[in-house]
Amino acid sequence: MSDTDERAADAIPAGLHEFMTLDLMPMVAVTASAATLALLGSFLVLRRQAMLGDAMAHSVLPGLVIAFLLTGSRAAGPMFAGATAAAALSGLAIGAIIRHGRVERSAAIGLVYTTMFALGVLLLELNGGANVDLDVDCVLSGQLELMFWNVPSTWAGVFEEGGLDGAPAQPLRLVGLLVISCVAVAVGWPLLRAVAFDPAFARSRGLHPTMVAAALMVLTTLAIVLSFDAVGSILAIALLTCPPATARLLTDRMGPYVMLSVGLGAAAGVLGYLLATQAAPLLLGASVDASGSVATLSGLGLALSAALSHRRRGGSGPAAARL
Amino acid sequence: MILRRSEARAPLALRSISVAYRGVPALWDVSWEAREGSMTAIVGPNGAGKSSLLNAAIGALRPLAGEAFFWGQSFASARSRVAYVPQRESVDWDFPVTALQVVEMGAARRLDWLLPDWLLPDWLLPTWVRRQEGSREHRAEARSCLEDLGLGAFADRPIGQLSGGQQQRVFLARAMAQQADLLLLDEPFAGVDSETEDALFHRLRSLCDEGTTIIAVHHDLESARTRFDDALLLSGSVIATGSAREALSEDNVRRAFASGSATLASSDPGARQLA
Repeated sequence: MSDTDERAADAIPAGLHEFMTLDLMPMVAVTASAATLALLGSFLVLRRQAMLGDAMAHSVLPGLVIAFLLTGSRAAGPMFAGATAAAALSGLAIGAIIRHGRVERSAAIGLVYTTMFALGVLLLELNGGANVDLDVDCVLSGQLELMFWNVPSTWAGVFEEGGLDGAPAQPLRLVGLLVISCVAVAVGWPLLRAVAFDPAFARSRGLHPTMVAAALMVLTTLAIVLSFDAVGSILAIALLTCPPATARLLTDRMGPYVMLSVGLGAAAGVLGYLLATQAAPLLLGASVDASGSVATLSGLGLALSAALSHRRRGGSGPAAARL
Repeated sequence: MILRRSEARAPLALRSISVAYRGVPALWDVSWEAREGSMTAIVGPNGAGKSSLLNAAIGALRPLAGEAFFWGQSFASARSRVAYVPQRESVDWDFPVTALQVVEMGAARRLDWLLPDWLLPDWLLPTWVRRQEGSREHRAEARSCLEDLGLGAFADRPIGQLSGGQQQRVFLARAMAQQADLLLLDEPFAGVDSETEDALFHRLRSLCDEGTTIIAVHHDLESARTRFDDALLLSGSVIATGSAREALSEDNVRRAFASGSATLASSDPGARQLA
């Protein structure tokens, strides 16, 4: 076989090559971010703190905008620093309002995160004209369309050293974060479970529920920031809460719950993305916003499972009717 | 730190503990020592600071002043010998764990918390960090604690499917799995039917006979008098201590409940539910 034949056999087919160039990396980004957010969100939902994740996703916005305005780039480091500062500030503000304002926790959270989010949008709008790189649209729904991959023309090229050099950084970062989160959850599994179930008992055994909560919050903030950059804040919020809530309705074992949550998140990512970019052009004549489609799918999944479990359980509270 | 001899020996010695919430005092200058191998009821009207006292003792609540000693040591050094059971309502019983998994939390020691056995088996660890007992043993231990309390058949049920009394027993099984020398129980009989209560008292008594000290926040005056050895009658501060019958005399009880805002409760059945 001649050299040219070998190349031809190894070449990536044109259709697949186009898919890999335009769609593969955005799909990887959406899926990895969806799975990570669903994994971390499942612990928030378990501790009935879904609202806290929601609040974090909103209140990091001014931090992101200020970091962007100061550095002029969307590099992950400064963005994460800004987001962490904004999240910490929100946490302090919530604590102060509870202590001095004598209002209940959820009211304080609601007050702080709406204010922070509004501040973020205001900052964006004030500086919007000057910054093509960061505007309201991309913050709300991300910039998936920018993640194209300069794919080598042959399979050998893809798997050779440096084959991923042409790939955008966000999807790879998100996959990295997914792996880190999975390892963290696997190592800390008994700890996470004990602390989430009965913090008073856990404290009496010498564990540190607040430290565990803080570590989870740092990972969640990191996931929100990286996803935010890749897929936007609205999607981040939807994926922190919808897949875990769906999984919670379908099982009452913790292992299956967390795994199902991750699976549902990933499935919403893949299906939502394909629906928006591949099916929508056929059905609607134009592709639609992928973030919106993923969020809609995860919301529909929740509605469907709620309806199903309502029927199965005869409308009474979770688990009660299955005695 | 100078300890009196009795303080150094007592499973729990409280010295002048005061607790306040947002500047409002809840407990004032409580000093008391538990008798080793006895069953003590902490009794008092609503808001008397019964749960706060337990929480202050184990450091979950920072007292304004005062200290708690466990066999003369701080809680941090003695915690492996102490089992704490919070109020049943303090946790979410829809949480997706099984009864056995809850009890295993009591059996878990040190390393089990961070490195699950399936992730890093014991034989891979250097000897000095090895788990004291194998996790397999813990699982068996947890199961036998559950069976001991008549819940063997419910081991693999999600806790949300258990009745209130069964949930309470799961909590007790978890405490027993800790193999502690001191049990601190916060309202262990709340929402438990009388048959289960009998069985639980029986079980606790046999633990006592083996030398375990039991201190329970309790809401029923009558059973506190008859079933416990000692009592600590609280109403913000200590009203009476000593043997259950003497400490919970009509006079003392009247004083405790008159000083609080709670209605006077005597032995008449309608007013016996004080908590």
